[in-house]
Amino acid sequence: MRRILAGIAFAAFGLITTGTAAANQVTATANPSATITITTDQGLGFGSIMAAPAGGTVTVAPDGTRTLSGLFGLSGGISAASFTVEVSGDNPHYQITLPPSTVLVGSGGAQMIVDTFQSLPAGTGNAKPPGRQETMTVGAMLHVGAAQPVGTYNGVFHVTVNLN
Amino acid sequence: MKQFGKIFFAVAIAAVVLTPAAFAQTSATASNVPATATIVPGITIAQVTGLAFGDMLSPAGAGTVTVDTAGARTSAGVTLAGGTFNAATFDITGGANKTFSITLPAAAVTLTSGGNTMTVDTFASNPTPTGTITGGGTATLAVGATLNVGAAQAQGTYNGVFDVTVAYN
Repeated sequence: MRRILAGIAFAAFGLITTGTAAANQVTATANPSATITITTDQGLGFGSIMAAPAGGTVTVAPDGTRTLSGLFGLSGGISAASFTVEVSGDNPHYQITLPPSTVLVGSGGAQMIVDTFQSLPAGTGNAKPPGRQETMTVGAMLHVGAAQPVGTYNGVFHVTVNLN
Repeated sequence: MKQFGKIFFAVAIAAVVLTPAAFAQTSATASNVPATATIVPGITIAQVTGLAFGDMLSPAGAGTVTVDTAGARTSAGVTLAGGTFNAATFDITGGANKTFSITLPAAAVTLTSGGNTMTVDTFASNPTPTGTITGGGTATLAVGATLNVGAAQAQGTYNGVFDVTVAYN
Protein backbone atom coordinates (compact mmCIF):
# COMPACT_ATOMS: atom_id res chain seq x y z
CA MET A 1 0.00 0.00 0.00
CA ARG A 2 2.78 2.41 0.86
CA ARG A 3 4.72 1.53 -2.21
CA ILE A 4 1.84 2.23 -4.46
CA LEU A 5 1.27 5.59 -2.83
CA ALA A 6 4.84 6.79 -3.39
CA GLY A 7 4.81 5.64 -6.95
CA ILE A 8 1.63 7.46 -7.72
CA ALA A 9 2.79 10.72 -6.13
CA PHE A 10 5.89 10.71 -8.31
CA ALA A 11 3.82 10.11 -11.39
CA ALA A 12 1.62 13.07 -10.60
CA PHE A 13 4.52 15.53 -10.27
CA GLY A 14 6.08 14.16 -13.40
CA LEU A 15 2.90 14.88 -15.24
CA ILE A 16 2.89 18.54 -14.21
CA THR A 17 6.53 19.26 -14.94
CA THR A 18 6.15 18.15 -18.54
CA GLY A 19 3.95 21.21 -19.31
CA THR A 20 6.03 24.19 -20.50
CA ALA A 21 4.44 26.86 -18.30
CA ALA A 22 3.95 24.52 -15.39
CA ALA A 23 7.62 23.52 -15.42
CA ASN A 24 8.69 27.06 -14.51
CA GLN A 25 6.06 27.30 -11.87
CA VAL A 26 7.26 24.21 -10.10
CA THR A 27 10.79 25.61 -10.09
CA ALA A 28 9.59 28.83 -8.53
CA THR A 29 7.81 26.93 -5.85
CA ALA A 30 11.04 25.13 -5.02
CA ASN A 31 12.68 28.59 -4.60
CA PRO A 32 9.94 30.71 -3.08
CA SER A 33 12.28 33.68 -2.56
CA ALA A 34 12.36 34.50 -6.32
CA THR A 35 10.08 37.50 -6.60
CA ILE A 36 9.96 40.71 -8.62
CA THR A 37 8.09 43.93 -8.00
CA ILE A 38 7.81 47.18 -9.93
CA THR A 39 6.84 50.53 -8.43
CA THR A 40 5.94 53.64 -10.42
CA ASP A 41 7.91 56.64 -9.16
CA GLN A 42 7.04 59.14 -11.89
CA GLY A 43 4.75 59.34 -14.92
CA LEU A 44 5.68 60.22 -18.49
CA GLY A 45 5.40 63.95 -19.21
CA PHE A 46 5.75 65.54 -22.64
CA GLY A 47 5.29 69.05 -21.20
CA SER A 48 3.62 71.87 -23.08
CA ILE A 49 3.74 72.17 -26.83
CA MET A 50 2.48 75.01 -28.99
CA ALA A 51 -0.18 74.03 -31.49
CA ALA A 52 1.16 74.21 -35.03
CA PRO A 53 -0.56 74.14 -38.44
CA ALA A 54 1.37 71.09 -39.66
CA GLY A 55 1.78 69.10 -36.43
CA GLY A 56 4.86 67.06 -35.60
CA THR A 57 6.36 64.76 -32.99
CA VAL A 58 7.67 65.12 -29.47
CA THR A 59 10.07 62.51 -28.12
CA VAL A 60 11.00 62.14 -24.48
CA ALA A 61 14.06 59.90 -24.19
CA PRO A 62 14.50 57.53 -21.22
CA ASP A 63 17.02 60.04 -19.83
CA GLY A 64 14.27 62.68 -19.74
CA THR A 65 15.48 64.90 -22.57
CA ARG A 66 12.84 66.16 -24.99
CA THR A 67 13.27 66.49 -28.74
CA LEU A 68 10.74 68.25 -30.94
CA SER A 69 10.21 67.87 -34.66
CA GLY A 70 8.13 70.54 -36.40
CA LEU A 71 6.92 71.97 -33.10
CA PHE A 72 7.80 74.57 -30.47
CA GLY A 73 7.96 73.35 -26.88
CA LEU A 74 7.56 75.29 -23.66
CA SER A 75 9.61 74.62 -20.55
CA GLY A 76 8.32 72.57 -17.63
CA GLY A 77 6.43 69.33 -17.12
CA ILE A 78 8.91 67.13 -18.99
CA SER A 79 9.83 63.74 -17.51
CA ALA A 80 10.59 60.19 -18.49
CA ALA A 81 8.51 57.65 -16.58
CA SER A 82 10.54 56.17 -13.75
CA PHE A 83 10.19 52.85 -11.96
CA THR A 84 11.91 50.93 -9.21
CA VAL A 85 12.30 47.24 -9.96
CA GLU A 86 13.14 45.04 -7.01
CA VAL A 87 14.14 41.40 -7.27
CA SER A 88 14.73 38.85 -4.59
CA GLY A 89 16.22 35.47 -5.29
CA ASP A 90 19.30 34.20 -7.03
CA ASN A 91 18.67 35.60 -10.49
CA PRO A 92 18.77 39.42 -10.74
CA HIS A 93 17.97 39.51 -14.48
CA TYR A 94 14.55 40.51 -15.70
CA GLN A 95 12.84 41.20 -18.99
CA ILE A 96 11.03 44.49 -19.72
CA THR A 97 7.86 44.52 -21.79
CA LEU A 98 6.72 47.91 -23.09
CA PRO A 99 3.40 48.70 -24.76
CA PRO A 100 3.24 49.22 -28.54
CA SER A 101 1.20 52.40 -28.16
CA THR A 102 -1.33 54.27 -26.07
CA VAL A 103 -3.77 57.12 -26.61
CA LEU A 104 -3.88 60.47 -24.81
CA VAL A 105 -7.31 62.07 -24.70
CA GLY A 106 -7.79 65.82 -24.41
CA SER A 107 -10.35 67.76 -22.43
CA GLY A 108 -12.42 68.27 -25.56
CA GLY A 109 -12.19 64.63 -26.65
CA ALA A 110 -9.37 65.07 -29.18
CA GLN A 111 -6.70 62.37 -29.18
CA MET A 112 -2.99 61.96 -29.68
CA ILE A 113 -1.07 58.71 -30.15
CA VAL A 114 2.00 57.83 -28.10
CA ASP A 115 4.23 55.06 -29.44
CA THR A 116 7.89 54.05 -29.88
CA PHE A 117 8.27 53.34 -26.19
CA GLN A 118 11.85 52.73 -25.09
CA SER A 119 13.39 51.90 -21.76
CA LEU A 120 16.70 52.34 -19.99
CA PRO A 121 17.95 49.70 -19.47
CA ALA A 122 16.56 48.38 -22.74
CA GLY A 123 15.20 44.87 -23.11
CA THR A 124 16.54 43.31 -19.95
CA GLY A 125 17.51 44.72 -16.58
CA ASN A 126 19.80 43.61 -13.82
CA ALA A 127 18.77 44.32 -10.24
CA LYS A 128 22.15 43.34 -8.84
CA PRO A 129 22.90 42.42 -5.26
CA PRO A 130 23.36 43.70 -2.69
CA GLY A 131 20.58 46.23 -3.30
CA ARG A 132 18.64 44.05 -5.74
CA GLN A 133 16.95 47.23 -6.91
CA GLU A 134 17.23 49.05 -10.19
CA THR A 135 15.76 52.26 -11.49
CA MET A 136 14.22 51.76 -14.91
CA THR A 137 13.09 54.73 -17.00
CA VAL A 138 10.77 54.82 -20.00
CA GLY A 139 10.36 57.38 -22.77
CA ALA A 140 8.18 57.49 -25.87
CA MET A 141 7.11 59.53 -28.88
CA LEU A 142 4.01 61.75 -28.99
CA HIS A 143 2.33 62.45 -32.32
CA VAL A 144 0.78 65.93 -32.44
CA GLY A 145 -1.71 66.42 -35.23
CA ALA A 146 -2.07 69.37 -37.60
CA ALA A 147 -3.78 72.18 -35.65
CA GLN A 148 -4.11 69.85 -32.65
CA PRO A 149 -6.81 71.30 -30.36
CA VAL A 150 -5.54 73.18 -27.32
CA GLY A 151 -5.94 71.33 -24.03
CA THR A 152 -4.48 68.97 -21.47
CA TYR A 153 -4.19 65.39 -22.70
CA ASN A 154 -4.03 62.38 -20.39
CA GLY A 155 -3.56 58.67 -20.88
CA VAL A 156 -2.07 55.60 -19.22
CA PHE A 157 0.20 52.73 -20.19
CA HIS A 158 1.50 49.54 -18.59
CA VAL A 159 5.01 48.21 -18.13
CA THR A 160 5.64 44.56 -17.25
CA VAL A 161 8.81 42.99 -15.88
CA ASN A 162 9.46 39.25 -15.82
CA LEU A 163 12.18 37.30 -14.10
CA ASN A 164 14.30 35.59 -16.74
CA MET B 1 -6.99 0.08 -8.66
CA LYS B 2 -9.74 1.93 -6.90
CA GLN B 3 -7.25 3.39 -4.42
CA PHE B 4 -4.84 4.37 -7.18
CA GLY B 5 -7.48 6.61 -8.74
CA LYS B 6 -8.25 8.38 -5.50
CA ILE B 7 -4.67 9.14 -4.57
CA PHE B 8 -3.74 10.38 -8.02
CA PHE B 9 -6.59 12.87 -7.91
CA ALA B 10 -5.53 14.27 -4.54
CA VAL B 11 -1.94 14.87 -5.61
CA ALA B 12 -2.89 16.56 -8.86
CA ILE B 13 -5.14 19.02 -7.08
CA ALA B 14 -2.41 19.94 -4.61
CA ALA B 15 -0.03 20.81 -7.43
CA VAL B 16 -2.56 22.95 -9.26
CA VAL B 17 -3.34 24.97 -6.17
CA LEU B 18 0.34 25.79 -5.70
CA THR B 19 0.98 27.09 -9.19
CA PRO B 20 -0.90 30.43 -9.26
CA ALA B 21 0.99 31.75 -6.22
CA ALA B 22 4.30 30.75 -7.72
CA PHE B 23 3.50 32.37 -11.07
CA ALA B 24 2.63 35.74 -9.54
CA GLN B 25 6.13 36.05 -8.10
CA THR B 26 7.96 35.97 -11.41
CA SER B 27 6.12 38.82 -13.16
CA ALA B 28 5.03 42.28 -12.10
CA THR B 29 3.21 45.03 -13.97
CA ALA B 30 3.16 48.76 -13.35
CA SER B 31 -0.42 49.52 -14.36
CA ASN B 32 -2.00 52.83 -15.29
CA VAL B 33 1.25 54.75 -15.49
CA PRO B 34 0.17 58.32 -16.30
CA ALA B 35 1.25 60.01 -19.52
CA THR B 36 0.44 63.68 -20.07
CA ALA B 37 0.91 66.43 -22.63
CA THR B 38 -0.46 69.94 -22.94
CA ILE B 39 -1.16 71.69 -26.24
CA VAL B 40 -1.12 75.45 -25.88
CA PRO B 41 -2.22 78.11 -28.36
CA GLY B 42 0.28 80.42 -30.02
CA ILE B 43 1.17 83.56 -28.09
CA THR B 44 -0.13 86.89 -29.45
CA ILE B 45 0.50 90.54 -28.58
CA ALA B 46 -1.66 93.50 -29.56
CA GLN B 47 -0.97 97.17 -28.86
CA VAL B 48 -3.62 98.95 -26.79
CA THR B 49 -1.91 102.34 -26.43
CA GLY B 50 1.31 103.76 -27.86
CA LEU B 51 4.03 105.37 -25.79
CA ALA B 52 3.47 109.16 -25.40
CA PHE B 53 5.73 111.70 -23.69
CA GLY B 54 3.24 114.60 -23.93
CA ASP B 55 4.14 118.25 -24.40
CA MET B 56 7.27 120.03 -23.18
CA LEU B 57 9.13 123.28 -23.70
CA SER B 58 12.32 123.36 -25.70
CA PRO B 59 15.13 123.50 -23.13
CA ALA B 60 18.22 125.66 -23.31
CA GLY B 61 20.37 122.68 -22.41
CA ALA B 62 19.82 118.99 -23.09
CA GLY B 63 17.46 117.13 -20.77
CA THR B 64 15.28 114.06 -20.46
CA VAL B 65 11.62 113.14 -20.04
CA THR B 66 10.79 109.71 -18.64
CA VAL B 67 7.43 107.92 -18.72
CA ASP B 68 7.48 104.91 -16.42
CA THR B 69 5.53 101.67 -16.86
CA ALA B 70 2.70 103.04 -14.70
CA GLY B 71 2.41 106.04 -17.02
CA ALA B 72 3.88 108.59 -14.58
CA ARG B 73 6.02 111.30 -16.19
CA THR B 74 9.17 112.89 -14.77
CA SER B 75 11.74 115.18 -16.30
CA ALA B 76 15.30 116.37 -15.83
CA GLY B 77 16.29 119.73 -17.30
CA VAL B 78 13.07 119.97 -19.28
CA THR B 79 9.91 121.93 -18.39
CA LEU B 80 6.80 119.81 -18.90
CA ALA B 81 3.72 121.38 -20.43
CA GLY B 82 0.80 118.96 -20.14
CA GLY B 83 -0.40 117.15 -23.20
CA THR B 84 -1.16 113.44 -23.43
CA PHE B 85 1.39 111.14 -21.90
CA ASN B 86 1.13 107.45 -21.13
CA ALA B 87 3.02 104.20 -21.10
CA ALA B 88 2.62 101.84 -24.03
CA THR B 89 0.27 98.97 -23.13
CA PHE B 90 -0.33 95.63 -24.76
CA ASP B 91 -2.76 92.73 -24.50
CA ILE B 92 -1.24 89.27 -24.68
CA THR B 93 -2.99 85.95 -25.21
CA GLY B 94 -1.53 82.46 -24.85
CA GLY B 95 -1.53 79.25 -22.86
CA ALA B 96 -2.94 79.38 -19.34
CA ASN B 97 -0.30 79.81 -16.64
CA LYS B 98 2.57 79.80 -19.14
CA THR B 99 5.46 82.19 -18.77
CA PHE B 100 6.86 84.34 -21.55
CA SER B 101 9.94 86.45 -22.13
CA ILE B 102 9.75 90.12 -23.11
CA THR B 103 12.22 91.68 -25.52
CA LEU B 104 12.43 95.48 -25.61
CA PRO B 105 14.50 97.62 -27.99
CA ALA B 106 18.13 97.28 -27.02
CA ALA B 107 19.22 100.30 -29.05
CA ALA B 108 17.83 103.82 -29.02
CA VAL B 109 14.77 104.49 -31.16
CA THR B 110 14.66 107.72 -33.20
CA LEU B 111 11.66 110.08 -33.28
CA THR B 112 11.51 112.49 -36.20
CA SER B 113 9.75 115.71 -37.00
CA GLY B 114 10.65 116.72 -40.52
CA GLY B 115 14.42 116.75 -40.50
CA ASN B 116 14.71 117.01 -36.72
CA THR B 117 15.22 114.03 -34.42
CA MET B 118 15.18 112.94 -30.77
CA THR B 119 16.05 109.54 -29.38
CA VAL B 120 14.20 107.29 -26.95
CA ASP B 121 16.07 104.71 -24.88
CA THR B 122 16.14 102.97 -21.49
CA PHE B 123 12.99 100.99 -22.26
CA ALA B 124 11.46 99.23 -19.25
CA SER B 125 8.50 96.87 -18.94
CA ASN B 126 6.08 95.65 -16.33
CA PRO B 127 6.24 92.72 -15.84
CA THR B 128 9.97 92.26 -16.36
CA PRO B 129 11.91 90.35 -17.59
CA THR B 130 9.27 87.62 -17.93
CA GLY B 131 5.51 87.52 -17.54
CA THR B 132 2.93 84.88 -16.75
CA ILE B 133 -0.30 84.35 -18.63
CA THR B 134 -3.36 84.04 -16.40
CA GLY B 135 -5.50 80.95 -16.08
CA GLY B 136 -7.89 82.68 -18.46
CA GLY B 137 -5.19 82.85 -21.14
CA THR B 138 -4.49 86.61 -21.08
CA ALA B 139 -1.83 89.01 -19.81
CA THR B 140 -1.13 92.73 -20.02
CA LEU B 141 2.20 94.42 -20.56
CA ALA B 142 3.21 98.06 -20.02
CA VAL B 143 6.33 99.69 -21.46
CA GLY B 144 7.95 102.99 -20.54
CA ALA B 145 11.13 104.73 -21.72
CA THR B 146 13.20 107.88 -21.58
CA LEU B 147 13.12 110.63 -24.23
CA ASN B 148 16.35 112.56 -24.80
CA VAL B 149 15.61 116.21 -25.62
CA GLY B 150 18.41 118.22 -27.20
CA ALA B 151 19.48 121.73 -26.32
CA ALA B 152 17.14 124.15 -28.12
CA GLN B 153 15.31 121.14 -29.61
CA ALA B 154 13.32 122.33 -32.64
CA GLN B 155 9.58 122.76 -32.10
CA GLY B 156 7.32 120.10 -33.61
CA THR B 157 5.52 116.80 -33.22
CA TYR B 158 7.97 113.90 -33.17
CA ASN B 159 6.97 110.34 -34.10
CA GLY B 160 8.70 107.00 -34.19
CA VAL B 161 8.04 103.31 -33.74
CA PHE B 162 9.58 100.49 -31.74
CA ASP B 163 9.11 96.74 -31.45
CA VAL B 164 8.21 94.62 -28.43
CA THR B 165 8.49 90.85 -28.70
CA VAL B 166 7.02 88.22 -26.40
CA ALA B 167 7.92 84.54 -26.61
CA TYR B 168 7.09 81.44 -24.61
CA ASN B 169 9.79 80.32 -22.24
